Amino acid sequence: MHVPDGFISAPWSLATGVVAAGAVALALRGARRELDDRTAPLAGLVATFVFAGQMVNFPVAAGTSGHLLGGTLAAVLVGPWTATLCLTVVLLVQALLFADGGLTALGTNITLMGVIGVWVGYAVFRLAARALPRPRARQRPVVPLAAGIGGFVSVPAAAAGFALLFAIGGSAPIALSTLMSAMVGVHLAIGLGEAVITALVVGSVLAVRPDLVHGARGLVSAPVLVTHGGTAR
Amino acid sequence: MSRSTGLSTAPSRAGRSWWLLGLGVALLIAGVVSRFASSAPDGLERVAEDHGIAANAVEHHALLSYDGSSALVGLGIVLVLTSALSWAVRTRGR
Repeated sequence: MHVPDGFISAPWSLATGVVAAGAVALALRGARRELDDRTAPLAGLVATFVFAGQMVNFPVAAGTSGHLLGGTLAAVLVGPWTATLCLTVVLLVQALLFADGGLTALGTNITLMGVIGVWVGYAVFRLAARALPRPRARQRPVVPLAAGIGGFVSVPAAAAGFALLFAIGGSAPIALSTLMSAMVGVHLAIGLGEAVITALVVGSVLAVRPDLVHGARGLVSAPVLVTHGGTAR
Repeated sequence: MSRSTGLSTAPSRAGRSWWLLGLGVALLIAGVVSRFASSAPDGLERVAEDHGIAANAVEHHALLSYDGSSALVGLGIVLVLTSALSWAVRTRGR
């Protein structure tokens, strides 16, 4: 879903650039509460995984593919503020070194994938985790399932963000309803792939290190780790 | 599970193995699984082609390509940048 240069007008690219810069500034403060000595190593790994995952396009229809956005996945694993930072680094490297996504469109891409993709996905994840039935003996599957639902919704949400942005600052006169239905339609299918990957990866990390999964705090009982400084959760 | 962190901020052995496992999976995806990726246009590219927007795209020169080893260079840069950033902003000593 990387927007190239030339799609969004200069003033609106500037506007999304301001939004993205503001989001990153807030995320730098917010991530302090999410990252500590134990969880910081996971952040680098999550960004690396998102970068790798975005390279693998899967077919969704004849002549159309999709790839992982990874915002929800990152938010559930390391927290939404850190996820915004992870996606920003990924999008920065893609734009600067791989010409994947435009340079003037960097703010647009951070806004769509690093802000909308992350925060809509994380909000839906939290709602789903609360709403899903949670039998006492089997709490663990709730987290990957809710993460998958969040991931599913995050993709058409980011696509809808693009359609809205293009309607106000796009380089071609296309009716919002036309673009909206086309973008959301194809990205609902891509969202299914996002859901599967997000649920599988969150489930895998939960199986290995449940104590590190941000979104599982308070939902899954973590093993107690004993350190020199006392007992850490 | 007991582990000693002491004054060091380096992950313990138990802490390192899951990290290396995760890195191995990312390398496998970037190096091997990506070869089987679909080359069809993605959702946005498809919509742009269908609605006559695609021609407006201004492409710039790529320094690296996703094929082969340069993808792994990108992977390494993302790992180093994000690790440095998260290490810098983290709350210390928890």
